[in-house]
Amino acid sequence: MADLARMLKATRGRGRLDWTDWLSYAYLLVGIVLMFGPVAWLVLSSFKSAAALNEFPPQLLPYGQATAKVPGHDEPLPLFRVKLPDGSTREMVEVRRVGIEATMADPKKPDEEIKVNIRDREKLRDFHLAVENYAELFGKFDFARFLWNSVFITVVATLLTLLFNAMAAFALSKYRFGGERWVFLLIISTLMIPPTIILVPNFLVVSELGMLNSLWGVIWPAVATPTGVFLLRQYMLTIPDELIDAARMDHASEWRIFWRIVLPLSAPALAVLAIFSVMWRWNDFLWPLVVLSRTEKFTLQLALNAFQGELTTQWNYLLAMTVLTLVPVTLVFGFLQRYITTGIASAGIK
Amino acid sequence: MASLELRKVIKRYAETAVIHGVDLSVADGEFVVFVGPSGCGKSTLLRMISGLETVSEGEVEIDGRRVNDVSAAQRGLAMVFQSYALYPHMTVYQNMAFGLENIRTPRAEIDARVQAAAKLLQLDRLLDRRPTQLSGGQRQRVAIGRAIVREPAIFLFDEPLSNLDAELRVQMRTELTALHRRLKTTMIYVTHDQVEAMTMADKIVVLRGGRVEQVGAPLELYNAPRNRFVAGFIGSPRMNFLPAKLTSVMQDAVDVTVGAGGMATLPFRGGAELIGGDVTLGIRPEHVALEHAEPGALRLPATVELTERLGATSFLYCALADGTKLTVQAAGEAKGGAGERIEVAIPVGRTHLFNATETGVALERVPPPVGI
Amino acid sequence: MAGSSPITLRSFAGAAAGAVLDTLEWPMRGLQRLLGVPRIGWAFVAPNLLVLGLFTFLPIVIDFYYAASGGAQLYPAERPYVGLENFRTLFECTNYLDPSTCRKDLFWRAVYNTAWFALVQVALMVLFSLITALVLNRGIVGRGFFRGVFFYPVLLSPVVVALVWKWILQREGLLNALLQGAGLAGPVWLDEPSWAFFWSVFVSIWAHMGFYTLILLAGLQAIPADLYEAAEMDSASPWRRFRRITLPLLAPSLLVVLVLALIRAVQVFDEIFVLTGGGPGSATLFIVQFIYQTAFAESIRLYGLAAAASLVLAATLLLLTLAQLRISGQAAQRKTRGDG
Repeated sequence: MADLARMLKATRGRGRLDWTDWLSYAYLLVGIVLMFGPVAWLVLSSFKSAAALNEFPPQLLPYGQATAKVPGHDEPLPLFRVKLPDGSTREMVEVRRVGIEATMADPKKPDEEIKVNIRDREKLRDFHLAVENYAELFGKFDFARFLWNSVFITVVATLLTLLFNAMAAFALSKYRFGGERWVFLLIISTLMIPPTIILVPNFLVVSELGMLNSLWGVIWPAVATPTGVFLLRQYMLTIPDELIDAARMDHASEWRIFWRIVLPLSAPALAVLAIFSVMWRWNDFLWPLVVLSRTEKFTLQLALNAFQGELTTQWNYLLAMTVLTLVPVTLVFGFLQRYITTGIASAGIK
Repeated sequence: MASLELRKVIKRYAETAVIHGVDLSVADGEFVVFVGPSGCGKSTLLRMISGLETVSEGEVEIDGRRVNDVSAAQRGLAMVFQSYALYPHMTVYQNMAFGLENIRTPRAEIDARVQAAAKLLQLDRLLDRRPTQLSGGQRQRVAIGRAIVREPAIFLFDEPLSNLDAELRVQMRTELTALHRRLKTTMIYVTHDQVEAMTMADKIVVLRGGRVEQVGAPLELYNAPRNRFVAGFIGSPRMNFLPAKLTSVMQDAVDVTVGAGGMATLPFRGGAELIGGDVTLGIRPEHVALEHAEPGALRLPATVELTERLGATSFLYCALADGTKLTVQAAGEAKGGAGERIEVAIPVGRTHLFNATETGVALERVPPPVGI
Repeated sequence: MAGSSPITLRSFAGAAAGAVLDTLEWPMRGLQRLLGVPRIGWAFVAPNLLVLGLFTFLPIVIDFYYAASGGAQLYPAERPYVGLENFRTLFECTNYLDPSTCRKDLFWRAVYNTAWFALVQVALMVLFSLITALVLNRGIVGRGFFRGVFFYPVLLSPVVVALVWKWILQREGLLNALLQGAGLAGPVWLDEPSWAFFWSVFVSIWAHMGFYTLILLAGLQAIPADLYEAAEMDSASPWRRFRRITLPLLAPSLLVVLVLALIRAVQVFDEIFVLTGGGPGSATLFIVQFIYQTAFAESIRLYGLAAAASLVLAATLLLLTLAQLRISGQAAQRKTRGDG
């Protein structure tokens, strides 16, 4: 609270707010609405039933038909606000309905039934989360499988990326084997290559290796990220060579040195790379689109894409699936936001 | 050239006050130095004068005109920053010309002023260089040149010499003093170094904890510090402070018993409320005598702990009978090594007396009768 | 009970790590004895190089052959050599400024769409990123929070981004509902060519702005604060401070942002493909989608043409990068000029 007060009083200097301050706060407010709003709307919409989604204009919160339990009936009956002939309004439940005539009853006196024209009543709503949108994903659609595919690719690719990049970075930072400068330049130069120009031939390579329509076909090409090698090498350069020399004096093999000394000391950089890799692999689209053509191999992203674009899109399920797809990244964002933003900022001024 | 007036100036950050009501008058053409330990508020005060900080309460007047609400850009002052704050992407010429361009001075006049200032500061061959290609001392001169060119009402200096090495600092000190004599503009100078203050100032303002401790000419502060803090801050090496007790008060003298043994009658007025209580006796190292003590001086036995001989002067670090440390400054190469027992003589006319409270206010010394 | 879980997880991970260490140690030690300590570096870098070679360098080489071969077969051996025929097909136009006169009109449509997109999107993106960075730089409390706010969309997958906005832009979506509330009637946004293009630009800026804002913010924060104070004492107005101090000192970061954004914009695909599928018609068909379509989505897969088009794209990007290097090199030269 003190922070909020301090923020509100933080002005350009004179002690009073001048117009640039007002403008800045307005801009930030618009920013929050614009950046979070659409996702918030997505989440809210995903909890609406299919019927509610068809309403226009849409309600803000998910609403469903209010119901009441009435003795003598097994299921709760829908509640309406009814305009009575004498002008008063009462909340009544619908017992049955035939055409434009509805038989209504007072929930407290269920035996008293009156017949009411449907024009004289309106639905009562209450807050109702259509959780079935989510629950049915696992039953009706192969959601669990898509989830598994995405998770598998993300985890395995990240582990392999960390291992391969760390080994390469280790070699390029701690060894003089003649040509390490060229190898490093070679690896960095691949940053300049747009993925599109290797789309077709990569397809051939992956196909020849028998990895078409396999999750491995998505994993392997993504493992040797030049950014990862660069990042880890920069960090490893700061590890004192004396540590490694001392370990050599202790008869440790180079592999042991890498595994037991350099790798643990590089934990912060590995963590950053891991976060990046998880994000990249989870969000991958074009390459999986090319490699995976069988539905059961689809990642979440491909499944989302496949299920929309038809006229009969079932938005309630699609929205729920979209929300589930962005949950992991949002969690990462929530907990590690600080690291990500500072990591990128410092990389930007390399 | 202008005069400056500060009236009950207070500065608050949130609820905490960092400047507690400062009153100050600076006459036209004076060289005033704000001095004090870090955190005393001297830079804050300077920034309030410059307009870079707002004033929470009180008045700031330049040449009689209230400038509280006038922005820094429009007060017509110039500031030399501690880090020089030179624009790294502009040449020396452009750095100096920038201020005049902002107030739309005609190009010919800009050129004239820049060339003149450059000549004055020996920068005329460096006008096309960028700050990164200059040495520390050169950068400092560019910062000064940038200020001169604007012909401001008051020059403000924020610890400009603290980033220079010792030798350069001494050189720049004399150059700045010469500059002041030449331009005759009011200058306000902030430093934590009391040597700079003593050598450069017409008037020194000693600050502590956001309050003015004393304002006066350098020698005034040296000879008649108003409290213990100022006495300890001005003068290097620091004044010696000996705990003592006030035993009796007479009209123009008081009797004290020094904790390290010995009694003396000192020429101070007042102090009636302190009878029987603690006081602090102050004596500067350079006034403690090792031989040729004057009559009536307070003689104390001491043990030498360490002697430093610098050739022209020597410092003897001694301990008195009650453990109090005493530093003695002697001319030439003093005799006396570690462990030696000596006797020091403190001339009563050079002593200072402070009450033992937090503030340590000085008692008023009675000047020696004329003729002695 | 709860305290023991992290211990077991860590010990499991430790055991797994130890297992990898031990299994590979023996062969690695052997290699070490064979190659000696300095050259063991090759063994460490080998896996990465292998993957890189297989999935990057080899494909580049093959790409050239694809571009120079015809037919619809995937295997190079089965593809007839046609020399520059594919390129000739691509570039066959009576009037280069009118895609409909071209033999491969879709290619040229894609080229123009991409060019327009890159121009407009990059200009607007840099502008808004700069404004946002300037606002965030003002020493407001909670700057970290707001930085995260603008950065959040960057983390979302392009598919999610596209769906989020597609949902809002539906005929009966949020946007039209809000407009109706204000008394206006909104069209079916993504069914109109110009609006579809507009929304492509908008959505792609929305999704990526945060990244560039971060870079510019870092650049702004690298400018020492006392330069602004000195400029204030130099009677500079806020606008002059911006123009003479901020902009010149921010120029390197701006250049980085410009180049990165341009390279990305030219290769735009994912979110647009899901948002509009290239439509309506070919209003939002961009070059990467053209390549993808030609190679994988048509009934006859014209790998050669796609490869040729991708080489054209690569050449364009190479030119852009070289231009950037030249400009930044010139800028650096101008800085060091003026030695006294």
